[in-house]
Parts: sequence; C-alpha cells; structure tokens
Amino acid sequence: MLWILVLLASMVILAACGGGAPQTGSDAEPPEHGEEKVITLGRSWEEKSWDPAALTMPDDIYLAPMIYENLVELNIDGSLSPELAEDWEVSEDGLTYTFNLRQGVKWHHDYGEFTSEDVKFSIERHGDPDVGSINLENIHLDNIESIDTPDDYTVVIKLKSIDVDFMTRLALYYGNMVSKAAYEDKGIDGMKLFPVGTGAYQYDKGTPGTKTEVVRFNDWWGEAAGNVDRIIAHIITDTNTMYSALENGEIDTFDSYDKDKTKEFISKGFTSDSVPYRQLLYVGLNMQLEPFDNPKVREAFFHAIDPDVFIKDLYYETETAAGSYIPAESKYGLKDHFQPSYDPEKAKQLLAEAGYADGLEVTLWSINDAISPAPATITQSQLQDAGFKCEMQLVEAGVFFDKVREGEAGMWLLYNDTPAIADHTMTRYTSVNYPGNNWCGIMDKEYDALVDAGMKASTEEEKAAKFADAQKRLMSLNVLYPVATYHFDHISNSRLTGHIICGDGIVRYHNAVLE
Amino acid sequence: MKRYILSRILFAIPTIIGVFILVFFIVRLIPGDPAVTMLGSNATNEQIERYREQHGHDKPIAVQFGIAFKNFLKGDMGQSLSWYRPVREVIFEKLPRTAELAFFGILFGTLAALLLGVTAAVHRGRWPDLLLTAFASLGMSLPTFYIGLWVLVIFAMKLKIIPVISSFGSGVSYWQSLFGPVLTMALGECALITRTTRSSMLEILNEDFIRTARSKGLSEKIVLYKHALGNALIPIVTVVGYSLATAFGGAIVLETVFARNGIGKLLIDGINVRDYPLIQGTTIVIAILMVLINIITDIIYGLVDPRIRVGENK
Repeated sequence: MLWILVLLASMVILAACGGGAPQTGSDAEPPEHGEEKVITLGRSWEEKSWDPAALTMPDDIYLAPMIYENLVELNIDGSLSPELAEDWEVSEDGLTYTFNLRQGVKWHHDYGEFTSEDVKFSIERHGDPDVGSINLENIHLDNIESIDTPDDYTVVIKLKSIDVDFMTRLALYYGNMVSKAAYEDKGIDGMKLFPVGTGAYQYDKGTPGTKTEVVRFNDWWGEAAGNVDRIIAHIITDTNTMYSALENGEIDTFDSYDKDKTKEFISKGFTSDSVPYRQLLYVGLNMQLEPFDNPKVREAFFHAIDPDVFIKDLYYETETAAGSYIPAESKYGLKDHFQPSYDPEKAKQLLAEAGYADGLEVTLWSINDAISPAPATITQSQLQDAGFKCEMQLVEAGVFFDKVREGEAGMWLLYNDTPAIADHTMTRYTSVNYPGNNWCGIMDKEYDALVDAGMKASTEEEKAAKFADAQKRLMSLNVLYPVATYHFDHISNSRLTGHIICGDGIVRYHNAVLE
Repeated sequence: MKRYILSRILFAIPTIIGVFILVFFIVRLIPGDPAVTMLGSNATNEQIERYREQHGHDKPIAVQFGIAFKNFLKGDMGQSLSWYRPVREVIFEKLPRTAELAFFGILFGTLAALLLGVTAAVHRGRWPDLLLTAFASLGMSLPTFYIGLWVLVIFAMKLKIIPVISSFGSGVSYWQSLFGPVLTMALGECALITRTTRSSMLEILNEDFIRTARSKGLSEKIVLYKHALGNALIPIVTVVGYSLATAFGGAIVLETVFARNGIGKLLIDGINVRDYPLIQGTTIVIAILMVLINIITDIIYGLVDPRIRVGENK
C-alpha cells in the first residue's frame, strides 16, 4: 500500500513543483509584481483564441481591444475616430478609400513597425482557407476589389460596390490589425495563442481557463494618462465566487448582469457604470408553426405583455421600453416606433375569435442561465392572465439554439445583442434564411425588398430610411416583441477610476488610475 | 498476482474502447450543434455551413466515427473546437490540478475518517458515537457546493487565510490555493468513510480473534489499530478506491466554486460548447483513471488481506 501512496504523492509533488498547468506566454514563473500597479478583473469568459479571424462575437472579446487596434475606433455614440489611420479620404463614387497611416507605430514584442503591408495582410488573410476565418462575411471581403500599398504609410482599398458601413466594419473586432511579421514567425496556431498588436497593453502570459495577464506597452504611440501597469483577468465561472472575490478585494472589477447585485454593490460603496451594448430582451414567435401562424393569436400575444412590469420590478427602472427590434443605440434603430398596448381582456377576446375561447396551450422556451428565468417567469405569468396556458421550458443554451433554429420552438424569450452594424440583424429575417437563422419563419416579400434596398443604398440616409421602413414592416407582423433595453453594469472597486466605456461593450483602462 | 493484474489490464482495453464508442454517439445525440453553439445566435447560415465543413461535421456520422476511432487508436484525441489546440495537450495541462485535489482530498478525508470511525465504533451507543454518526449523516447529505461556499465564507471571507480564487501566484502559495477545495472534498469524503469504518469495525470487534487478542493482554491501541482496523480495511479500501475514482469526475463542482482549472471544469466547458473531441478525450481519460484506480484497489485487497492472495494462487 505504501508504494502506491508514494507513487501518488510523487505525482502530486511533481505537479506542485511543475506549477501544474503550464502558462503560455513570455514568462512561466508565478508573477512577482513588486511595485507594479495591478488591477484584477473578474471574468466569466475569455478569448478562447486571440486570432481576430476566429473571434466569433463581441461577447467573446474583452482583453483583445486593449491589445489590438484598428484603423479607426468606434466611439460609444457610434461615431468613428482615427486610430492607426490618421486620416482617410473617400472617392466621389464612394468606392475608393485612401488611408494615411500613423507613422512610428510599434508592434508588441519587437515585431517592428506597423506599415501598410500589415493592413493589407490583416484584411486579406480573412480569405485564406488555411486561416479559416469565420468573419469572412462580416468584413465583406468579397466586396473588396483590391488593396494597394503605394508606400509604407498609405493604403488604398477599392470596393466593388458601395458599402456605406465599410468604415465601421474596419472599426470592429474583425478589423483588428495583426502583425504580418509575427504571423510569419508564429504561424496560424501561434496567432491563436499569442496575440501581437499595437495597443496600450501587450500580452504577457496566460493559463487558458484560469487567467491572462497583459502589461503596459511602453512604446505605445498614444498617450496613457493612467497608472495601471498590469491587468490580470481571472476566469471565475461561479457568480457567488465572483461576488465573494470582489468583496474580498481579490478582484477590482467585474460585469454584473444582475440588477439586484448591482444595487447591493453600490450600497456597499462600489461604483457602477452602465455599459451600453445594443442589447434587448425580446420574445419571438415562429409564424410558420401552429398556433402562431394565426395572426389573431400573435396579436393576442402582443396585448398580453406589459413591459412596465419588467422595467419596474425586474430592472428597477434602469432600463427603458424598446422602440423597435433594433435597439435605438444601434445605427439604424428606431427610437419610439413600437408602442405596446397592454390589454389582457383584448387578448382573451382575440383568442376567442381565433377559436381558443377556453384558453390556448403554449410553451415558452428560454435559457436556464443567470438572467433569463426571471423575465421568463414574468412572461409566463402575464400570458396566464391573458388566456394562455403557458408552460415554461428552461434549457441549456445549446439545446435552446437547436430548438429555435430547427423550428421546434414556437415561442421563446432571449436577450439579443445587435452588432454595431445592423445588416445582419435585418437580413437574418429575410425569406432566404428560413429555415436557419430566420427563427421567426418570416416569409414576407415586402420586408425582403426593403432590406435588399437598404443593403444596396448608396448613402447612409437612404439606408436608414429603408431600414426604418423594414423595421416598421417587421413590427407590424407581430412576431418579435421587444420587451425592454438591457445593459450590463461594470462594477468596480472605488480605488479604480478613469476607465473608459467604449462602443461594443468594451472597457479601456489606459487612462485608469488605481489609488 | 502478475497474471491477475495482466488480465485486468487486458479486460480494461475493451472497456475503454466501449466507453469511446458510447461517448462518441451519445454526445452527438445531445441536442445542440457545435457550429451554432460556437458561433452564437447571430451566426449566418453560410458561417455555420463553413464551420461544419472546416471541422468535418458535414460528413456522414459513420465516416466521422471511422476517422475519430482511427485517431483514437493512434492516441490522437483530435483538436479541440473551443481551445484550438490538441485535446491531449489541454487535458494534460489540467489533469495535475484535479489529481492533486483528488489525492489530498481523499488522503486527508480518509485519515480523519479512520480516526473518527474507530472512535465511533469503540464508543458505540454513547455520545461520541451519536455525535460522529450525526456528523457523518450531515456530511453525506449536504451538497458539495454548499460545503464549499461555507468554506469560502469562513476561511476566505471571515478569517482571510485563503483566497476566494484558488489559483496560486500573485501572493498566494500553492498550499493556500489547495486548502479550500481540499478541505471541502475531505469533509464530504470523510463522512462516507467514517460510516463505513464504523460499521466495519463494529463487525470485527465482535470477532473471536479480538477477544483472544485482548485476553492475551495486548494493549487496546494494538487491538484496535492493528488487529481490528487491519481486518476491517477491505470495505474501507473499496469505498476509498471508489471515492478516488469518482473524485476526478466529481471535482466539477469544486472546481467551479473555487475557480479552479481542472479536468472536471474542462469537461463541463466542453459539454456547454459541444466540443466533441474535448468531451470524448476528457471522458476517456477519466475512464482510464477509473479503471487504473480499480486495478490498484484490487491489488491493495491482496496486500491488506493475505487470504485473497491465497485464493488467487489456488
């Protein structure tokens, strides 16, 4: 028996001496921070890959915007500012973009100077089959005719057809600039594990699933007014552990999705910043499935929901009614179009007219996560009051997406975020996308035509007008009920100030001050 | 004995292959497409199709199985869909974290349980027995995450001797990072092993050879810990072996509560994003560990009870 214990003990001692999970990055030793100013972030998820071609959605991204930079930066109000491009010109026909790049910008980890070749490489690699970019459509690579680099600091991009949101595409995560030299040195897989950017912080080390550390980049071209030298992001998946870690001072900040917890932490002296994320809570109906193929049933449903209850009781009036399915914070969102009319008696009358005088049995699907069960329960309760016999199915995210995508769920509740460019949210409900990500089964030629016209618009005004009409048409079909806007809260220890909330739910710390 | 061990190892091979086949098909029966789960609710049909092509999920299931099985026989567990790295590499990064937790949790739990179980048996029907039986019942009925939260509240929040986040570095020692999860696991396991030790000891203490040992004038300590406990070990070893084997799979809850990055959490993360190669690889590794621990438990039977070895020889 003794030898077995000795064997197992040796294994454990080896694990302890070896530090267990090896760290990736420049330093495998436990950190010795000395006099460094360090902030620790609590995160429930992380970038599983650092390659912008493999980043899937804004939810995945948190540290990457501190490491990578783009030609232009997206501001909180949707406007654009120069970043790695100092200025740019657009030709009269709207097809040629000429960028003048910032000179003297250094890549992290001594990979040389940022040049026009890096811009060409960063965009064109999305089309490389070996890279396998999942953001090929997002960056509209097939609409790019050519990318020319007349000198090191000039880039000329020619489009095949006008894309009024082309500049915004370049400002989003799939427009991150990556180093050609680093790519040639580290290869495709190396890019996924070790990011090389030009941002205010450079990647230092990380243990996937545990923590990632970035350090101040002293050769950054910008001006960093803050004093934070190192940022450590700890992965904590249990929310109770996250709360305890914040109270215990082990983390300085985390994002709260629970309004009750936000209130609690504010009362304890923590600070809270609401982070706009173009997100809203909505209930969707599949109009190809019974009983929601009946317009009267859908209309009854729209009279059964009272958004005020959600806003007052669930969100403590920190959220507002949604004006459309595209949030108002989004470029093409309508602010006050949707005017809900809560009338449970009218709902019952409509159900009776539809042949369901004794009530209608329906199932509400949602995700069994930290934020969905409460609004799902309120929805169920309101539907019961309006003559529906509502069963609730709370399932794991993978099951949920399968059910709605395959057209097996007639009604669902979900928090949805609209990307900075609403194109995708608008086009997903066109006829060609059913079955698939047109979860509502909308087969409406008028809507299809309006979206198509918006996508082909030659000016922003024209696109906004077409998308506005398309949204009005969509809302008239009574298939997407936008219940309320939704923001998450960035809770911080009071010793941390000066961090900046940017567009796309991103928080930047280069001006942050740690007392 | 060597032949016995060899036969157990040979029997383990079809077991592991069986586990692989079962896991391969079961994970594909779970609703949820890896492409949709990985790419999110806003993914377009084109993105999803391309993702499936890139990862071979568009091929018939029999072809997918053939490729995966061939690779499995070569020791290749494939590339993780969510970690973008070979599954084997990811698993062997996380395994030591769970192994140390399981080892120390079971070790300390067992040592404490032997002491408490013997004490309860010796004081049968009196207050120490009642108290320890109540403790064991409580420990077995409380969920692990609940014990874990209390350990966090007491030792991290109130006493501040351990961190809430159990990853070492940044001023946290290796032993500090282990204390919370090990204590939680030890408390849970201690309860089960205490009950087993108590009942096994009660049976042995009524045997003739114990009376003989006492009548020969041996000290009570030698009677209890050498003669009685030595002979009561068989059921205890079974329970300890079982606990150690299940600790690898059961570490999921502890690793979540203490923000610890082990194989249990890896499996859960894999299931959440439908990372098929990762689920298969992790399950196979846990199955291999269970088989190995069972073989070791069988060997220990022979060491603690010579009659078993005699039976084998015959």
